[in-house]
Amino acid sequence: MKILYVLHQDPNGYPAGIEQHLLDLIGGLIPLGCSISLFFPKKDGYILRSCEGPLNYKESFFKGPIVDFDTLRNQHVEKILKDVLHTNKFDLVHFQSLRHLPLSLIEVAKDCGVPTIISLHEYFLWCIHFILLTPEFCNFASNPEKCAVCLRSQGYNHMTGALVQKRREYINELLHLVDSVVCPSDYVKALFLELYGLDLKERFHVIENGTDINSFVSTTRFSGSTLNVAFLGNFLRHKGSYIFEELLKSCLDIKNMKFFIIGNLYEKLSTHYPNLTIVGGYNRAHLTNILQKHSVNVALLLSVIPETFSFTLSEAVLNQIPVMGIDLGSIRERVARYKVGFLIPHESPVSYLKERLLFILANKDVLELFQAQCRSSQEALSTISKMTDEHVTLYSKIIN
Amino acid sequence: MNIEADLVPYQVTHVPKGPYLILAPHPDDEVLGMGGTIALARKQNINVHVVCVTNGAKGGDFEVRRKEFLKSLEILNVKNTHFLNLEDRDVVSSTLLEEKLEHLIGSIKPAILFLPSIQEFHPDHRATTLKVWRFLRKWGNFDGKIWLYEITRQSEINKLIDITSVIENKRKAIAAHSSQVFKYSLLDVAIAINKARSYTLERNVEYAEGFYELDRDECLIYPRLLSYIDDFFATKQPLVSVIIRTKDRAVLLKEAIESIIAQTYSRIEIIVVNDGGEDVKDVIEVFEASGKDIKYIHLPKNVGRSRAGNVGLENARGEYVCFLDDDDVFYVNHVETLVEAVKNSGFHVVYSDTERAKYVFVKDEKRQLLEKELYFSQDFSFHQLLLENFIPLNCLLFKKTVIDRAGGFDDSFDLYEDWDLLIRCARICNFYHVKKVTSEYRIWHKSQITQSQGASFQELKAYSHLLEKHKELITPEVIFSYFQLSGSRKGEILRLKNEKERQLETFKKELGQKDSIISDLNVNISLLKSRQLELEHIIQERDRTISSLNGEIQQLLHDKTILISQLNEIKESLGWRYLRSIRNLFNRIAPPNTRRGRFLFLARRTVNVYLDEGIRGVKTRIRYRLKNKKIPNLQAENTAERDWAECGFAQKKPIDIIIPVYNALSELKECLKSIEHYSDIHYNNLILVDDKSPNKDVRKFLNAFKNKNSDKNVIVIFNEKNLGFSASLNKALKYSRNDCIILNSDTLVTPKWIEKLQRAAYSRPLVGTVTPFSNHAFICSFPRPLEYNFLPNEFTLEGFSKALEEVSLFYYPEIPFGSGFCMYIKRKLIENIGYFDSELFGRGYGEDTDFCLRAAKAGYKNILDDATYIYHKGGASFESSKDPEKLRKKNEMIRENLEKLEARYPEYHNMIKKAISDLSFVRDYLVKRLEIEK
Repeated sequence: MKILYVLHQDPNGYPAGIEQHLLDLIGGLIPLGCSISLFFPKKDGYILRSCEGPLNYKESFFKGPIVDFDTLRNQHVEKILKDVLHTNKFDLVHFQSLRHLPLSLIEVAKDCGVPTIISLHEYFLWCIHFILLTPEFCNFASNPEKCAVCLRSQGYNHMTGALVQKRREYINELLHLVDSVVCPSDYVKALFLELYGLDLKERFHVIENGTDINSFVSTTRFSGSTLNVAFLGNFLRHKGSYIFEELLKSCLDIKNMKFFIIGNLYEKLSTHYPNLTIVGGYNRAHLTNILQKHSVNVALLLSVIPETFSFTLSEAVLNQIPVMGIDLGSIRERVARYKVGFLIPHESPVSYLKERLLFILANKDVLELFQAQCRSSQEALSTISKMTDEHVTLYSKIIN
Repeated sequence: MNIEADLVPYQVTHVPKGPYLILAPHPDDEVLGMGGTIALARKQNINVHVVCVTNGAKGGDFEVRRKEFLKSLEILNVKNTHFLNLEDRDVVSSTLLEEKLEHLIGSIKPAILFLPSIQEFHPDHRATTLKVWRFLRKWGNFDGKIWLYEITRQSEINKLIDITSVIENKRKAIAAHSSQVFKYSLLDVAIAINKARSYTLERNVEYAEGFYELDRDECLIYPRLLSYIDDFFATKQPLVSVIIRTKDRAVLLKEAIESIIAQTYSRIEIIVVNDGGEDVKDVIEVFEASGKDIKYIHLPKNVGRSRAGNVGLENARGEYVCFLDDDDVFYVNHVETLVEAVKNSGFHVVYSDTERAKYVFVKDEKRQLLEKELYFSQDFSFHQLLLENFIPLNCLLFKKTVIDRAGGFDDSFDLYEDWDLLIRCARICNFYHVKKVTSEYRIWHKSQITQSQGASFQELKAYSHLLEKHKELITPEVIFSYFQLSGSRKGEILRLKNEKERQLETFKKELGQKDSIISDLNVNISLLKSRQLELEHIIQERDRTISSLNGEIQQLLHDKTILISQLNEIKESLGWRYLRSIRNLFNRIAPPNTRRGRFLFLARRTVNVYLDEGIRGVKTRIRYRLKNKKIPNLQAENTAERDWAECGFAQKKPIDIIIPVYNALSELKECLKSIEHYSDIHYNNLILVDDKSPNKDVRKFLNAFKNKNSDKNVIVIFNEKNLGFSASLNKALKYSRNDCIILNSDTLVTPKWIEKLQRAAYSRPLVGTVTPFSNHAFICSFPRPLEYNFLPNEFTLEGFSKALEEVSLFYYPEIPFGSGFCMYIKRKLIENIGYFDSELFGRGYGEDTDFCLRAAKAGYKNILDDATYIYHKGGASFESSKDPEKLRKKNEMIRENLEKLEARYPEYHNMIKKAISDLSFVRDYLVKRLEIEK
């Protein structure tokens, strides 16, 4: 099987969620005999990378313009992809992200007669400002005029309601054109069906991102005296950094509760907190050791926008650490499905968080209950090999 | 004390797994430090990459060195070499290393990264490791190990590798650097270190190479490296000791320490000397815990300011010393400014300016700033210092040797000890004045922490002691020059005063002009804002109208299609065709749009109504026609969306509460009472559909209820004939244009029920229906499913509902179908799948399950609101408990409808089992938290 993945940047550069997922997938597909190539923009052109392994590859460079997020069509880039497809005879094109790429590339792939799939790892196919903060979460505003006002305030000065509407209509056409749409969670599937219509139902498939279970072996026991609570993941505003800081302030007087930030610190804290330890960024392979070292009992996942998947939730569950997550997106979906912790109402998170933490402090058995749920849910979480198999099945079905 | 085994390994380590990435600052460092290990690794076919960081040009011709490097590595069988070509001794200022490293690590994916030991002497060796460390810390994507290797000296190690078998290879590889080995005896040095490293190992190990492996956590935090970095920077930044003398002012002391910790200058140690006051250990511990360099000395009794100061000086390790009173603060750049001044001026004592701030205590230790002014700010004059203390101690930075030479504070002073010290220091060297405010000198009022009145007896006594001590220095010349200086200062002050007054006048004028501009602008802004609000309101109104009209158009088009198809059916029917001649005859007798035609139409309609509804139907229609009544518009007036986030669990948009009514008057009254109590009927609509209740009092009550609530959105519909539960619901659903809650008349609602159900309905996409927990709601019954539960004795209904909300997990679990006793239904769902199937399910039971299962089939979700509880009496409309015959009929109907459901959904029973099992966790958790016994 000869597969071309199209994405917005070099996955080996800054491995965030999408890139990590893709590297995992490539790592799983190559041993199965698949021939993998990547197509992505870089500096002043486009790279076609033929992979023999996630880090072992050959590259060709095509000079061409790098387009803005709101580009629907671009002839130069379309030609580059058309040439690539004609020369290489791929069996399938899988679009992982279309940021910095014209949306019309999907049409190009279809015109060349290659089966085509899109993955929805983010909300870019609803809004080019895909973090959806204005500064509050816009809740997938559907009025194009409202969206245009918001986008103009984000620096897209030329945006009008008509352009927003046109882009959505075009995406709707593209979603009807592709052979399949892959979603990392049920939440994303339901959301895009609600946004673009239930008639697309048959095209949408949910394949959860895989996480390797073998690398996690931790069990952190709650001693009953001090509760160690960790903010897990990058410390950013849309990941709920300000909620965490409010929580820190409100818990200053609670002596037997300690807080940790396990993730890169991109937001500054307003002051020094004696109840906080900043651990900093982590590599996934080291997380178990870090969580054990600090005896973390509860993980906080405080994203104020809905996550499409959340690797950190998988990591917490695999380390048998109950979570407290804001009740949005796939965090809501997966915490409720696996029953591995508390969901915190997003309208007034701090008071609920504090109340629930104090409750755990007073009732050790609740934590044990959720830990048991984490243990029993581990097998339900997707692994890299399971995710790869599901992709292979889908690919085979579409190609044949 | 550590034993030897903690400090150096006593056993050798096997050659670790590769690939290796080795960073060599110069073209020979890798072979000198770990040539043996490289040779061993290559023998095991481990992939080794060596990166030469600099061109090594300071040690010789770089082309020559490059060739030697390649030749040396060829001897060790290493083929992967990389050159960064940084300038020799310039690693610290280049950025190329970080740029290249990301690519190298990304492409090689090394299991171990080898770097020179941080304890090496050569600056390039240390800079390479530091830069790589900083980069990896920021990057966070390297998951291999880091090993530090020693090159020219023995460093701290925790791994030893036996290289006895390859020592000759290493010798040859080093010898290949012929331009270097003879200059610096490198071969001897390297081999000597390897020999020395065998000291703790078994006899057969003659040579070994030492490494320090940073463990995983050190890879992230690097505490050991951090300590070396302090030493690294120590060469550039001198240590400054800040001494604080304190006594019984813990709150202010904390502020003073915080101001030191906030300094932009990093190499500071803090020494707090408690002069016999209340213990402030808890204040200090907070700072100690966060890793600050702070020393606390608690003197058992009060020894006076001079002695306390000397204790601080005895404990100071710094090259420079500052003093800070426990009620004053430094500004963030204080120490940095003074250290810079020392460096640039060459003076050993420097001082900056301070602001005198007057504070007054208001309440509960809160304070208010009264005024702030520049304090002194005078250039140094020894003569002036003899007669006037014009340099507050907080402003000074001393080279410690100067104070040591001056002999520290004089213990005989308890006041003016600082002045005395300054005079003695000034006899040793001059002071340098930095005209920059870098601290705050505080004066306290009311609570009188520091006295600020005129000179006290103690002050006079101290002053006379000072004069007595230094009297031989106060000569007539000194006094003369002091007064001369004072006179010139007075003149200068007068001139400055006049100038300031002039400036003040100008500022006032400009301020007045700006104020008037600002007020004009404010008026304009408020006008624009109000206009914007108006426009937004108009736009919202327009959008609402359009969407409502669109809905109506859709509905009309839908109705039209149905009517056309019905018309076509009629036209194609045999009856229509057979009666065509009669119709033609009627058309001739009474053509349409003529008086006769209209009369015939009315007569036909009247006959139809009479046949369907009897004479009462005819009378009702005539009455309505005469009164010209219209059916009220069910669309709520205020449909503007409320801000969900700001209102917490507030409603987002209005809903229609639909209650089909059939007898059960007392239950209906209770139900409506609870709705009035817990629902906003001004914002939402309440639609009551009386399904021709045989009990005449129901109609009376409903009319009275409507009249009583004429100011609210209450709509009452009376069916002309009994249609059954499902058909009555459909009738109301057709009137409605909003999301709905269908509700049985024998329920009792609870606080925030609408808000909570709506919140659940919009908690995720594609939710179609929401059902709350209830005592009697099939799979949604709580605590026991499928059963009739009684409210626990210790709870009222309201109390139980609130308690459930408080302990809820807010999971909103998915269920196969809800229960129609109370069900939130989204308008979108109705538009998509239509209404209840009243034809199949007749008078009731099963239609709600069917509706939900149809919703699921269409892609919508049915969910349970695990935070809401509604009481449901059950079966009141059928009055089955009173009449055995009715009970039999009811059971018969339930059985029949169940069979219909099973026929339509063969998985029905399995779905129930699965739902009960899926909900067991939530149910058990809530039961446990509510402490209800099963």
